[in-house]
Amino acid sequence: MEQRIETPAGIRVDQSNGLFQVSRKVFTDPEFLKLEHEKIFEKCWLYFGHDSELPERGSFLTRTVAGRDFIFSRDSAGEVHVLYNLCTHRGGRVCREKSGKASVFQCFYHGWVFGSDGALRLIPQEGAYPEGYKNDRERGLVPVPRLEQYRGFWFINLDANAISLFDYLAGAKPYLDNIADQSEVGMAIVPGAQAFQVDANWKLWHENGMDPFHVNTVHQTYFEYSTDVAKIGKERAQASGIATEVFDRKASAEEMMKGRYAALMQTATKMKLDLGNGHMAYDYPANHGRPFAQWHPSWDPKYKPELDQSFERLVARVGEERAKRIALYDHHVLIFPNLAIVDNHGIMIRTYFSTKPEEMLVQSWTLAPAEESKEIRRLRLYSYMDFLGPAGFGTPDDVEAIEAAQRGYKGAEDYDGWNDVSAGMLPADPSSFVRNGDEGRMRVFWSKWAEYMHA
Amino acid sequence: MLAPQTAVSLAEAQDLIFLEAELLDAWRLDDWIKLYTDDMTYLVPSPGMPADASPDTRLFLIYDDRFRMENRVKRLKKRTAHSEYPHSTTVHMYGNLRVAGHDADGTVVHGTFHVSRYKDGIMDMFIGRARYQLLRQGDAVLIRHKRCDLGMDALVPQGRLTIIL
Repeated sequence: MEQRIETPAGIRVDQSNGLFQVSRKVFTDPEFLKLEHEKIFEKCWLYFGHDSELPERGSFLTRTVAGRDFIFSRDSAGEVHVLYNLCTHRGGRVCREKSGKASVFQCFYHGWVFGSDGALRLIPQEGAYPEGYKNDRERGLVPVPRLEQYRGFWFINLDANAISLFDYLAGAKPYLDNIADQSEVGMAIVPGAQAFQVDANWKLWHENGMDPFHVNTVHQTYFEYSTDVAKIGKERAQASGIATEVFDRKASAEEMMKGRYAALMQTATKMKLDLGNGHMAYDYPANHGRPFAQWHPSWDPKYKPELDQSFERLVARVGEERAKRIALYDHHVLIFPNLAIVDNHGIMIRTYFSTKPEEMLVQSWTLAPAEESKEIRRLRLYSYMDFLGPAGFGTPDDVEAIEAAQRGYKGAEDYDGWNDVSAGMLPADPSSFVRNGDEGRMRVFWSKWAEYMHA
Repeated sequence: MLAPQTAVSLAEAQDLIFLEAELLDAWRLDDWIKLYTDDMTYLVPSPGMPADASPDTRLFLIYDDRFRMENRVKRLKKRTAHSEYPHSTTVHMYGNLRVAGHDADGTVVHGTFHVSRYKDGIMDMFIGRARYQLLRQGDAVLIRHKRCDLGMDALVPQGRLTIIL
C-alpha cells in the first residue's frame, strides 16, 4: 500500500519511499500567495530593522515590510516605534524621506503634524473639530500591532495575539547571540542598504539559502577565484614568515566541502540544525578570512595582528570553545519565514517578500562591530563584495538560477509538476551525507510552511 | 596642477571613454582593461548614496582594484558565470562629458551614463552619474579611476549588476 499524503497546501510526503515533493503551483499560483500573506506573513514575526539604524532620539527611516510602508522611529524619550506611513486623516504619505532626524512628521496632503512617537500634534483647521479631537489616541499614526526586539534585532508582528518574539525565535537565539557578541559595544548596520528585485517567488530564495547542492555548480567561478586568491596569498604569507600549513587542508573547494559536511555531522549532534518554529541553520569551518576574527592567507599579513588580538579578546570574554564557534566558523541562520542571516565574508541580513508570485523584493544590509578599526572595516567591506551583493561573484548567479527555475515553472500545470527535496530522507548510504549533504533543512521549512497554510 | 602638456583634453577624454563603451559592448574585456592604469579603481556605490560616499565606510556594489577587476574579467569570460552566460547585449551611452579639472593625480572628467542591458527577453537600464580620473602615461591616456553613481535607489527591477557600467 502506498503511503502518500497529499495536502492542499502543496507538499507531498511519502516517508516509506523517501519522497518529499513540493508542487510547482506554490511558486506560480496567486491563490497560494494570497494564502501565504494571510496565514504566514500576517501571523509570523517579521524582521524589520536593527537598533543601530536609529542611533539618536529623533532618528527615523522609512521601510517597506510585508508590502506595507512603515516609519521606524526613535522618539524624544528614546522609545522605538514602527508606524504605518500614512496620515490618519485622508491617507496621505506622511514621511517621504528614506531616513533622517526629525521631531515631527507633517503630512504634505493637508498638513496634519505627528510626533516621532506617532501622536497627532497639530491639525491646521483645529477649530473645525470638537474640543480635544486631536488628543484621541486613535488620531495618531497607527502603530504596528506588535513590535519586539532580541539583542538589537527588531521584529514586527501583524497579529496582536502572536506569541512573544523570544519564544518565536526558539533555537535561533544562540545564532543571533553569536552575532551580537562579535562586539563589545554593540553591532551596527554599515550604511549602504542593497534592495533589488528578483523575478522569482520569495520561497525560492529562502530555499536557496539552505540548499547545499547548488554551491559547487552555481558558484564554481567563485571557488576558482578564491582558490587563486588563496594561492597568491599563501606565497605572500610565507614570504612574511607566516606558517600557512594550518590553512592548507581548507585550500581547495573540494576540501572545503568535505570540511563543511564533516562539521555538519558533528554539529548535527551538538547543535540542532532544526531550530524549531521553522528556523534552521548550518555552520562549517571557514576556508577564508573572517573580518571577525580570523585572518587567512588570502588577506595581507598586515591585518593579522589585529584579527589575532580580536580573537584573544573574544576568548577572554566568552571562553575558548564559544570563541572558536563564533570566529572560526561560517554561520547561516534562516528564520521563518523570510529572514536569512549569513555570517561569512561579513554579516549579511536579508529579507524577501513577494507581492506577485513570480517576483520578490529583496532587501539586504550588512552588520559590523561598531568599534572595529578603519583598516578592518575597509577589509570587511572589500571582502564582502567578493561573493555577496547584486554585483558580487556569487549572489548574481543565485539570482540567475532561481529566476531560470521560476521561468521554467510556466506550464508546470500541464504535467502536474513537482519539485523534489527528498535527498537524505531515506539514504541508501547514510555516509553519503558527509559527501553530499542533504535537503533536510529545506524540509524543515516546507513542513512548517504547510502547517501554517493548513491552520 | 598638472603641467599643461600632461593635462588631458576633452577630445582625448571623449575618444578614450567612447572607446571604452565600444569595447564593453563588444565584450572585448581583455582589451578594455588595458585602458586602465595598474593603480586603478572602479567604484559603484550601492543605490541611493551621497556623491561623496566612500567605499571604506559604506557598503558598495562594486569596489574593484586592478586585482579584483582582472578577476571580474576572467570570471565574465567563463560559461560558468551563469548570470552572464550567454553574454547579455549592452549599449553603453556616456554623455555630457566635460573636463571638470586637473590636479596632480590626473584630469577629472564628469558625465552621465545610460547603459541598457538585454538578456532573455528582458531589457534593463542603468542610469547615473559617471566620474573619471584620466592620466597621461607616456604616449597613452589611461583611466585611473572610474566611479558610477546609480541614479536609482534600488536595483528594481534589474536585480543584479553583472555588466561593467
